[in-house]
Amino acid sequence: MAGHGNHSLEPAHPDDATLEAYALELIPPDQADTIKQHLEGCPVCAARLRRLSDLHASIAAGLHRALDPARPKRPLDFARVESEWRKPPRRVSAAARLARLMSGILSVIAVALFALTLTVLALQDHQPALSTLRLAESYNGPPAVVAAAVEEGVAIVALDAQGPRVVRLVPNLNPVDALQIAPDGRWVAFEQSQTLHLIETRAGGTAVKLELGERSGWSWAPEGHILAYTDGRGQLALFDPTDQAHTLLVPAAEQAWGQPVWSPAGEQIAYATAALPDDNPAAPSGIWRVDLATGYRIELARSPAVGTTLLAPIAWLDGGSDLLARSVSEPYAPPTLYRIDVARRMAVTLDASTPVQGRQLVWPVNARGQMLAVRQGQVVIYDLPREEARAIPNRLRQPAAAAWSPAGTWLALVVPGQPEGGGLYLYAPEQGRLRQIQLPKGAAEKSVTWAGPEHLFVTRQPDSSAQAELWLVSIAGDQVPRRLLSGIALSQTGLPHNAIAARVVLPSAS
Amino acid sequence: MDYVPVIRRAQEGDDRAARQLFDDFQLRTYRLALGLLGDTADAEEVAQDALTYALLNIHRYNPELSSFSTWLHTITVSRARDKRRRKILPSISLAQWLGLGNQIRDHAPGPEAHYMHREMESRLFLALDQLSPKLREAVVLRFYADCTYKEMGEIMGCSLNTARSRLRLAIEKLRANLGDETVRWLVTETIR
Repeated sequence: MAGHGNHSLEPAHPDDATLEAYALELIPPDQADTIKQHLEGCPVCAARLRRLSDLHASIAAGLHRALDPARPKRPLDFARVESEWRKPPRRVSAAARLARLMSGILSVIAVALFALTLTVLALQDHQPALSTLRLAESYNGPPAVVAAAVEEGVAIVALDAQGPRVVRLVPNLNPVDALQIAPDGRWVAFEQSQTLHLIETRAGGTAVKLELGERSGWSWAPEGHILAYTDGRGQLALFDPTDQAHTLLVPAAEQAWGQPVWSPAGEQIAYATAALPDDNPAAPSGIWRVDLATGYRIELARSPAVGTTLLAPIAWLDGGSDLLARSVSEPYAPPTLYRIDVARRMAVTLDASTPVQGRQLVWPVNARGQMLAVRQGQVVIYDLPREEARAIPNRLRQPAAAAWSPAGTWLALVVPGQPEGGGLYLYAPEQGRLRQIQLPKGAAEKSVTWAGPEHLFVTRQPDSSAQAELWLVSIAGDQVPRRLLSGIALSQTGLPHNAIAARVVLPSAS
Repeated sequence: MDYVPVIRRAQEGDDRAARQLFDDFQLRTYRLALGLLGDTADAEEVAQDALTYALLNIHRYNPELSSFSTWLHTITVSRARDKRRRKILPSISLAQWLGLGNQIRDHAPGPEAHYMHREMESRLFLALDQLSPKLREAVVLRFYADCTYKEMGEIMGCSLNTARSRLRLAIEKLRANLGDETVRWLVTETIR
């Protein structure tokens, strides 16, 4: 501990690192006593110690000055706790539950009989009992799979001619995030903390977990079946959940991070690289592509500002000849969009921006390379291959959610701030046609997904409710909008604006 | 205040006790989240989420294992990590927030000194922004939440020695990020 003094100090003086450790109470007691004795007789070291300690005090003071007066813009909302509070499993302690269970032999017998009855029922139709989730009695849309956060965990619901039914319940998995269904409908994927869960959608199917670190990301191959992921430690790999087999594509030393982006045909993957801040922040970072047939990796573009701004891929354009990318800044700055010419490995800055939520674009890109974007302060349909922008009707400014139809000709939009039932619109950019689809009052529209070419799944949130509903809407207008599921547990998914507790896709949608 | 009786009542199902805990801990949870994330909107979401989760799972809290604050800090840090990992658009960073002249205790007399003060504090938070999340956690837990190393280890999910080395590394990086001039100014202001 008593290192060599710097400058003109005697060798017996503790060095700055040792004094700093002493100030931070990191030195073992016996060594600390020796330093303490030295400090009592050495005014020079005592002054050095004060200087070092003063920085710690000033950091503490700076934090307190900034944070002590801070208040949320609105008081935090107790209603979310209150609405769940009365439900027994949460609020009753284990001891109290045990006491109730032991209160009499009759109750034990009743519980046993009840359990037996449930078991018999479960054997008959495999439908787990759910406290909040309610299903419609029939269904007349295209076959589909739904995954929804519920009070008990994650419920997987089949929608087909037999009517909606719960085929699987994965218990005790709240809160969950990034709920997704694989394009082939066989797997549900979601995150819980830093674990990625992959659950087969059939009753009794496989369940697999992947432990991921910070800065990780994942995405399904276009045809489903396999997943590409960065593990948060620099590796990019493929994972086949059926065989539980990993295939390494990029080693950790190359520092792949974030969400990998599959090309439309699934033959290559675009990914971002960046050194970890603690390792080497000045190392070059950028966007690469890896060819799955050969394993060759090619750098496509370098990040514009080393250490502060990174590039991340968003989507392939023109069948794979171009790549759309965005900047990611720390501290945050609005993302800049880039179009990267894959063959020439050149990046061009686009005169447009678009909101991003987590790893996803709020307004996705369609198969033709069209997207909603903000350009010169206006929301436009931006045709990326042609670099043309077309204004959208004024009342569609800043949609909260958007989804392209499978053919890319219609855009379904959820426009915030509309009266209940009036937030859903259909827009055809080629014809400039705009149509409002009126839904029953009593809930606000939150998100939209296409369910084949003729239907929409719309997530809605009833006023003052911590639960969401899923509706089926026919765009032809020949069927009345129908509520399919209600009681999706928003409160257990965490974030208040995260109104989409369930992601819905068709098994054959992609 | 001794919260043990209030926590016990909440564990027995008393919603007024839950309300009291919510009210008493909401500001400190928000401020801890703000220190960890540096973003007001993110901090509101994380604080709401952490408090909601803590109260709905209060039957899992064991006062013999840790204080309620430590348990709540653990949940807040975990939620902040999730939030940072999924990084949704922040509305405004704490460094910007400070620069916009929100409430900061004004202990400098003149406008120039006041401006300098905010400028230097903005630099402090910009330097914090440059730390990795785990190093930032160490700084905020030690210097803002006044946690012991043992508590830091529990909250960050690491050993006591790892908590110590994270703090030491964080100080080194902060010192380098701030630069000599800002360090001198901060020290002078603090001891003034």
